[in-house]
Amino acid sequence: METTRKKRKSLMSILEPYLFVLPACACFAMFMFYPFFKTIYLSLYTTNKLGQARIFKGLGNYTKLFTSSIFHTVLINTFILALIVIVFSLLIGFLIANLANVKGRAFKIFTYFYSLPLAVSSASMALVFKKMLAPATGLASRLLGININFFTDPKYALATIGVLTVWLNLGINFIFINAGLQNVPADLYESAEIDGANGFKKMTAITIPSISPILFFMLIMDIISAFQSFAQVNVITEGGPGDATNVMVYNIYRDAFFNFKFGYAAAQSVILFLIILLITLIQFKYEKKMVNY
Amino acid sequence: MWVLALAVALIVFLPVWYLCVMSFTPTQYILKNDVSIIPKYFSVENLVTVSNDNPLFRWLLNTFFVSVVTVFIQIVTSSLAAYAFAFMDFKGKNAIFLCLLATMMVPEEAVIISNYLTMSHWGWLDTYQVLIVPFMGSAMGIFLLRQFYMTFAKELHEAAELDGCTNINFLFKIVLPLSKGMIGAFAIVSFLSCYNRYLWPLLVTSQTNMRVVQVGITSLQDQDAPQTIGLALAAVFIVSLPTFIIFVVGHKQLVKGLMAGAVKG
Repeated sequence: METTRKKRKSLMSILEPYLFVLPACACFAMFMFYPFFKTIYLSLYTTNKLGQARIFKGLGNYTKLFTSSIFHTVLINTFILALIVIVFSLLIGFLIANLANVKGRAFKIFTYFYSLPLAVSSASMALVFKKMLAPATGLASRLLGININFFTDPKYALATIGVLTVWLNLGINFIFINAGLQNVPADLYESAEIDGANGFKKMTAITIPSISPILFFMLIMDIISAFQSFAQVNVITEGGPGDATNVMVYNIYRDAFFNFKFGYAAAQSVILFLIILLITLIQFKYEKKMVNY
Repeated sequence: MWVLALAVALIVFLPVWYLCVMSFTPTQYILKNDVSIIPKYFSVENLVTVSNDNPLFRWLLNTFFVSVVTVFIQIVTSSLAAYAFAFMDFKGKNAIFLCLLATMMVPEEAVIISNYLTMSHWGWLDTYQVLIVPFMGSAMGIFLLRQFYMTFAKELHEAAELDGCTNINFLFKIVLPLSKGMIGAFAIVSFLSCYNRYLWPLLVTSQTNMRVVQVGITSLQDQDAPQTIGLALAAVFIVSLPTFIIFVVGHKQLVKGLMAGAVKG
């Protein structure tokens, strides 16, 4: 009698956890794992307009990509964009986090201003920037008299998209770096002052090492975000002029949904994934060297 | 020091200020080049015109509906899964959790093509479900809630079990009410994420009346003529207003949600 009661209890209690995780896992299985493998599968084929695999090409799509000058441009553009974003997001983020980190209630309001980019979407802001920096009618021309074609001049287009992306990331950089700054124990600074350290010394010897885990985390976030840039390019430049602002995600979008080369685009998606994975892995390996606790 | 802080704040704020000023400046003055940093004119004519000429209201409705439903479902799936990870022991628990971790590493772009093809195959393009269903699970939600649940004393759960309380009851009557703060923070972060989504809705909706807000307004900017600046920006303003409001009102929760979501395990 007792054993049957135990057995019946066990069956439900064994199943129950799986039922709890089922909804989330089913969603991930269907919309993350399955499509991930399907993308890899598609990348090995040439597809028809419906996205069905037709001709097996093995690594053909990949070799075609590596010899494609467009793809070279795309890779370079994406890396340049990432570089601009990382350098300036971290620098400016660090600057404004320090500026807002002074005690006093008045400074609370700066937190709102500095994290404002979080609220707006990249598509909306891209539209605003497009109008704002438009030649002749935009703010830059009217206010500063500069007559540069920010978005149509191949020399400036990518950098301008970079500036926009930095602005978009500013909010989240600020929030994290600011949180990090607030967690630095005050007595570290006090003992440094007693030892006669000036502002600059304090910053390099105490602040930066103390927040290095956060800086490192933001570094990864900024890189990944830069590699995933899309809305800015699609709304403002559509990859142009020429291919000056063509970045990886935009090129994937174009090849898949305008050229209907799903297999080819899938191959690019796989490469993008591998790049992001590689960067993250390399940095986790160096984390131990760079980050001081 | 604060002078520098103010100066930088104003520079950061500049694009938003530009948006606001241009939205409320009548087009005639924009054309006459009669705009200045401190606005001289104030009129809602741009806002009115752009909402009359375009299905702005429909787009807002679509986006709110999709975002609210998605966030709600995410809360449900996440709290259930997080509960299992925090309070229950089962075979494969760690393996499944690692898989969850893995999903956070997969960028959207790696799956977007296949998901699009699947949706196209199912005939789900230009529907509400295509905007909701793929996002019903949230790894961030599961992490957030699991972390929070793990702060509950194990004795509480064991005591409840001894009292004959089922897991479902424990979840609904005790755990969830106590998680309101965490759920609120997650809800804000996730809502903003849904509201601001661009690439996926761009792909899967083509009918104007099924578009979401971000895609809708960017389809408005085909002409570069100065006449349309005020209108286009007015549209952006209307569409961004809800997010501004949420940002100001829920700022603390937003920051809390973002910070908590970053600390893994």
